[in-house]
Formats: sequence, C-alpha cells, structure tokens
Amino acid sequence: MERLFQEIALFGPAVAFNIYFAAASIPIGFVFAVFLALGKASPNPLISRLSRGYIYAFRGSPLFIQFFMLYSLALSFNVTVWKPMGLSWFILHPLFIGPLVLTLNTAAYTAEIFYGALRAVPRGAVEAARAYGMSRSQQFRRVIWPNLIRLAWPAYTNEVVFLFHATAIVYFALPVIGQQKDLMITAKELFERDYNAFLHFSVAALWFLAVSLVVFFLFGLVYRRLMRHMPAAPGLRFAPKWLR
Amino acid sequence: MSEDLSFWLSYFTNGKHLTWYASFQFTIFAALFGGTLAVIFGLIGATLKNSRLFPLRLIGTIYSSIVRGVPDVLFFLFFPLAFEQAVEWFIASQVCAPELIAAQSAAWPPCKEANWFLGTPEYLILASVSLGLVYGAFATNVIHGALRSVPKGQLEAARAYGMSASQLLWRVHIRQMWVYALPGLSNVWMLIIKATSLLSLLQIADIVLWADRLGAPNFLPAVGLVHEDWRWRYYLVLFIFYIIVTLLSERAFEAIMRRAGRGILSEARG
Repeated sequence: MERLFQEIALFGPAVAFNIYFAAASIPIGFVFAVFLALGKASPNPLISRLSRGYIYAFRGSPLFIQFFMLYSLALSFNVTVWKPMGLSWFILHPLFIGPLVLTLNTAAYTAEIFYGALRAVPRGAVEAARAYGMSRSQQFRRVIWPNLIRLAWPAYTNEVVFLFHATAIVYFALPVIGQQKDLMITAKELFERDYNAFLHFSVAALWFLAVSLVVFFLFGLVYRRLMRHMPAAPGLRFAPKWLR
Repeated sequence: MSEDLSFWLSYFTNGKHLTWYASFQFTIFAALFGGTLAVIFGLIGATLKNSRLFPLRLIGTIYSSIVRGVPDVLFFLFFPLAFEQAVEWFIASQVCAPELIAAQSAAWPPCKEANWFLGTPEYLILASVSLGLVYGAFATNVIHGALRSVPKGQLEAARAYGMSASQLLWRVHIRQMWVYALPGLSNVWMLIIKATSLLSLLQIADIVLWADRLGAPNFLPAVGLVHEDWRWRYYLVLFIFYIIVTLLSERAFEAIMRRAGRGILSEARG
C-alpha cells in the first residue's frame, strides 16, 4: 500500500506535462475552431471548401502521423530557416511543437462539434434577431453564439477529455529532453526497470482518470452556469462517448 | 527524362521500399482483426450489461467505463506486456527450479527457461486483441444503446409467436439491432483505423517505422548522398493514405447502412 502511494507521488511531476500540453492547446484550438466552423458554414465556396478540407484531413488521419509529419517538416526547415534565425531551440522543442500539433488536431474535432451546433441553432431565434434589425455581428454575438455554445458544451467537454488522453502519445513521437517526461514515458521507463506492468501502468491510468474527472467537474460547473436560465439545469455526467 | 524515370522506378522498387509496401499487410490485418474482435467484445459487453445478474452487469459496466476512461495508447501498450508476463509467470511456475530462479540476475523473467520470445506475428495478434479490447468497450456502449432502440413491438411479436428467450435474442433482437448500431460502429471503425498507426510502439515494423527509416538521410559510400532528410514526404504519404482509407470506409458504411435500412422507417437511419 505504501508502495502505491510512493508510486502515485512519483508520477506527480509527470502529470504536469500532460496537463501543460492540454492546457496550452485547448484555448487556442477553441478560438481556431470557432473560425473553422464559421468557415465551413460560410456561403463563400472557397472558404467553405478550405475549412471542410482541413477538418476532414485532420479528423481522418491519426494524431500520431500528424505529430511525425509536422515534426519532420519542422526538422527539414531547420538548417535553412530556423538555425539562421536562432529559433531552432524553440521551434523544435517538444513543449512548443506538441501543443502546436494538438491545437491543429483539436481545432478540427472541435470545429466539427461547433458546426453541428451551429446548424442546430433555432432558425426562429435568428429570424427574430434579424427582424429586430441586428447587424450580422450583433446577431452572432447575442443570438447565435450563446445558443451554439450551450448546444455544443457537452460534446466539447468530451472532446477536451479526449484531447487530454491524446497527450499520452506526444512523447512517443517527439524526443524526450532530460527529465521532461510525461505519464506514459514515466510508466514505460519504470516498467523497463523492474517489469512491474500492473503497478506502473495502473498508476498512470489512475492519474489520467483523476484528471478526466476533474475536467468533467469543472466543465460541468461551466455548463450549469451556461444553463442557469433553465428551470432545472441538466448536469454533465462522466461518460466519455464513442463519438469523437 | 527517361533516365530520371528509370532512376525513380528503381528507387521506388528497391528492397527497402518493397518491404515498406509489404508492411501495409500488418496495418490492414490489425484493423480487420481488431475490428472483428471489437464487435465480438462489444456484443459480449452489451450482453453482460443487459444481464439479469447483478455481478455480470457490474462487470459489463466497469469494463465499458474504465477502458473508455483511460487513453487508448495506455491500454494498447499495457495489455500485450501484461499478457506476456502472465504467460511467462505461468511457464515459470511449471519449469523453473528454485536454483534456476536464484541464478537469474535480471528482474524478469524468473528464470531463462521461462522466457517467451515474441516475434512480429505474436505481437500483431496481441496488438489486435488489445485494439479489440479497447474499442470493444466503445462498441459495448453502441450495441447496448442499439439493443434498447429495437422497437418493443417486434420483441413482443416474437414472444407471441412462442419463441424462447435465446431464439428471441438471436433471431430477432440482435438482427434488428444492427441498423441502429451501424452509425456508432462506423465511428468505432474510424477510431480503430487511426489506432493502427500505433503498431510500431509494439516493435512491429509497420508502415510508420518504415516511413521513418526510408525518409532518414540516405548516404551510400559508392554514390554519395542519395537524398537528405525526406521523412516529412513519407509521412505525408501516410497522412494521405489514412485520409483515403477514412474516405473509403465512410462510403462503404453509407452503402451498408442504406442496404441494412431497407424497409425500415427512416428514423432508424437518422
């Protein structure tokens, strides 16, 4: 039992890296996703096609390949571009390129969620806003966006948990620098030392589960706040869906 | 021009490239076998979840929620390692004499005789089983929901015809369930396809590993530098490969759904 607690404490610094990767990519991915969703719904065929293609490409290919591809792309520009600018220590650092790829990836998934919610915004509400003489930006800020985010929030919560789970493969694709190890690398190294698969992997799983539960709790609070005008606010349940 | 063409032709058919093309079989095998197992585990899980006995229901619920609550990579790595150790532990309990265990200096296995060497085929099967276990948990949920969507009237009609419980399950309930499960199963299939990119983590020389080897800067003493770092081009090929596979599966599932939904109210297809 004491061994278990020691082990849990041992993973403490490692979980910070997973949380960093998720926390660094979620806000930027969120903003990017809003633009992508609006782009996909845009009447302009060029913008619509581009957003559609981007979303399809990043949802249709494995994150693992995206990591390798963008990292090797960054490497191939190293000698000609980053090195002369003195930026290679920054651009090629896993702590930069990891969140970058995760952002591109989560933006595509989130955009698909937002696009679905955008199409589910009640037509009548938008028509009423237009009848009031609101400008397009007013319509978006006061009517479409509040509706959209309420509709999308449960699915978005799911996506955030999935993104947190996806941070597990960052260091399988990118180089580990010094002691900067996330949960999976820590578990794998401890396993290679004493071959105790059950202890190390279970503790890593516990950490993932614990952080997922915290995410669900926090996002549930936000959801309650978003839905505070409803007579009985529906709660979020811990139920990772098959839909991603 | 023709010289260029013959260079590229020989470049793309050299031994390493041929091995790369051959390694696509591992990915395809893992996807198909893993997908089949996921459906089987999904059916078992859903049956457990629907069971009348509380312990079985608990097992089904725990299986589907715990596996979905941790990252797929974690379970994907854990299962083959744990299975290998369990087998080695079993062999060790049979063959290892105490003095052999004392002579062994490494932490694992207990003695050298108990070591179970795993080659690519064994790892491939283990990887497929663990894909099946992970995505079976997702399929459990899909199938569980689909079983509940089958209209009650159909089951009552079957019961009225005097079918026994197992006849009802196999002849009506599970057959009618597919239409409702297909949209969800198509999502699970997409997840499995994407997860097949992880095979190289289990020491299988799959398409990802070969793309990395082929793209690395290539220097031959006789010729000089053949090409510099071309890895991103090879990864781009894989990127496009996976997008095409997704596109084709989407089309295939649409066709299957259209066929399975014949004669059924359109609500089932929604």
